[in-house]
Amino acid sequence: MKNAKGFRTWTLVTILTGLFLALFSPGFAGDGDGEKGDKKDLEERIEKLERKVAQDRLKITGDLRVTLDNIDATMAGRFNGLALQKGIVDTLFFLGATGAFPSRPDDVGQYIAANYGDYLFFQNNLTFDNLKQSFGSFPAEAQGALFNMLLPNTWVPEQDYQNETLYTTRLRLNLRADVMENLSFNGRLTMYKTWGDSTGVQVFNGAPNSFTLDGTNAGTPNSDIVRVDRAYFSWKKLAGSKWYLSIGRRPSTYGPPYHIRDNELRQGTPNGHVVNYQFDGITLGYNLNHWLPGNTFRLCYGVGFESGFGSGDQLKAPADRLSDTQLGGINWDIYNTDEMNIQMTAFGAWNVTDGFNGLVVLPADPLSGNSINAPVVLRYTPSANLGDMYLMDILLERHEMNFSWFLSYAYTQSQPNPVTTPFGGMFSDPFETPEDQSGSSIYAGIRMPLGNSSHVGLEYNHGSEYWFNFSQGADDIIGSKLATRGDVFEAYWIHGFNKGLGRARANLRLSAMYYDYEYSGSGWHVGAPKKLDEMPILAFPTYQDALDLRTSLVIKF
Amino acid sequence: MFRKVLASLLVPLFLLSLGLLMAGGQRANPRKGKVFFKKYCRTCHDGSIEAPVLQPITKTMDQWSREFEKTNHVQICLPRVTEQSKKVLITQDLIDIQSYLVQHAADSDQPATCSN
Repeated sequence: MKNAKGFRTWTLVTILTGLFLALFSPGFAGDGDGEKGDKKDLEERIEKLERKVAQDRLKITGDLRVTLDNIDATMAGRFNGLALQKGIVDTLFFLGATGAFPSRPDDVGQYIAANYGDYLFFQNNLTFDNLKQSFGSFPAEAQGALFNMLLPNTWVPEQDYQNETLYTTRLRLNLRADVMENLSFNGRLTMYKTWGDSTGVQVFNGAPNSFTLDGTNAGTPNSDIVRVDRAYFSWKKLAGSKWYLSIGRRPSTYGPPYHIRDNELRQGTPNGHVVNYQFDGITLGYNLNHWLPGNTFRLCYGVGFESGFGSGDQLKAPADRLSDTQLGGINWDIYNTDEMNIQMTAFGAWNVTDGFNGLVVLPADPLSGNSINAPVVLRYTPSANLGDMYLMDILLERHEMNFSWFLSYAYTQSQPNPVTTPFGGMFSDPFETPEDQSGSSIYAGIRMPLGNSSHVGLEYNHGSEYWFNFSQGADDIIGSKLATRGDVFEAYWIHGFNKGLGRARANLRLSAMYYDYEYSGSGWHVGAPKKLDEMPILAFPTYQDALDLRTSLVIKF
Repeated sequence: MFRKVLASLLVPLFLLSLGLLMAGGQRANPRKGKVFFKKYCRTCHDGSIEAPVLQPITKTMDQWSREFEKTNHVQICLPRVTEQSKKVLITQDLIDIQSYLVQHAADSDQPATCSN
């Protein structure tokens, strides 16, 4: 017992001593000094964080997409327009040298072989105006007889075309910086290439996406070059008003309703049915939210072709210098909420040229029709202002409780100058006089959920004979589906790999896109559309129909 | 040609039919969640009383998920919501609200305040 009592006493003393030391020792006290120490430590840590946040002036996000396309297509039967052109040029040489029409095409070939030096001299001095003038001086009967003689030798029968595996990789880096209150910078750097090619220039095959252009080079597979897809600043609430200003390389690609098929958020400002094309310009916008939800009215301006720099303008006679191609119009979000988007885009393109500045490898000389055997990279520079173009679109996009759908109608009207080039005039052939033309297109789609993480969708679009839009920057391998003069059906399935309830940061997409072309020249404003089932004369091979089965995996970071 | 037409028309029609069949299932609906959040949560979390101001960009995606999954902050609020609005928020409603907040969180693809 004595021992037990002594133990209790000893224990009590020990506890009291410990408590005393705890209460009055500096490191263990609950007094003001300790709180100050904690606070100071906390402040130092917060300061470090603030410094870090202040130094992180740029926010970078991005996505990496890998696709596999399987293409099964039919090329329309055609009379080879470039071979015909060569036949006409050669016949003119023969006629000029001999004073007589050839009785058969072989006569021309034999004469050229025998007088090749003269032929080269003739070609070197040939201009399109000479050619047009000479051909125009022929009586109609002579022109008919010449065509009848030359055409049969130029027939290219319908052909199948398959590409079983075409892989592409696209890397996009999005940049954002909040410069100061109401002033921000946005940018996007894009690399988009096919596997196994980084040349940055394609052999021209007649399709708009085989031409490296300012407006399309970030949207079509090109090379491992990282290009500036977007770079602009936005200044909101100008002088405290509801006006905002944005200048730079515009967010003019993948606008509504184009994002629905990719299960993306809205990617661009103008309606994707009429504009999917990079350009540099200015937007002055005004928010009318107080009138209708999401109502924003925008005045837009841009430049499609600059004639005074880089195109050798100073080398030309004043009368031959071209005007710049100017773009201007309105982008109006009439009603824009989570459930509904009603949008109208209307704009004009003035002094449109015969193509735009770009890099290309031409397989044949469009003037003489002769093959260019050595593939030479050419800086293409337009040679004429073909006229003006007007486009408009109205879109209704709905997001119901369990599905989304949209309907879009677009219209285009041309006002050409009486000018043609070796490639043609605005919607006319080289030897025709261009006339005003109009075209239209409808685009409709529906997307439904399939289980918790997947969507299925179906889209359809139709373009008329003279339908034209600025959607050449779309990344459809066969060609922009929304530029098609004919019908396109697309079905897709998207599976999102979600983290919790957030938007998917990885998407697997399978799609089947079937093109049924009715007229030639989809995506081009140069040259007259030809009905593909009526044995047309075409300079380049043209798809009659095509099926593109695409598998793509997108990782967002 | 027949194969192409088959692939282009019948397959999507089948997928769409399947989608229609499955569309009735329970899914997170952020649009509905947005309405609920503004109607039932922001009545207190708007800065007018002592409750902290909350809007989607107030937290990160992970923080919002933790808020709903690992703590009882949301559960504490439910009786007050019922008391004030006579609305009993069920599990699906909470999932809808959570999906709205997560999809518009500070580090989401579309950060949002309550004004947009």
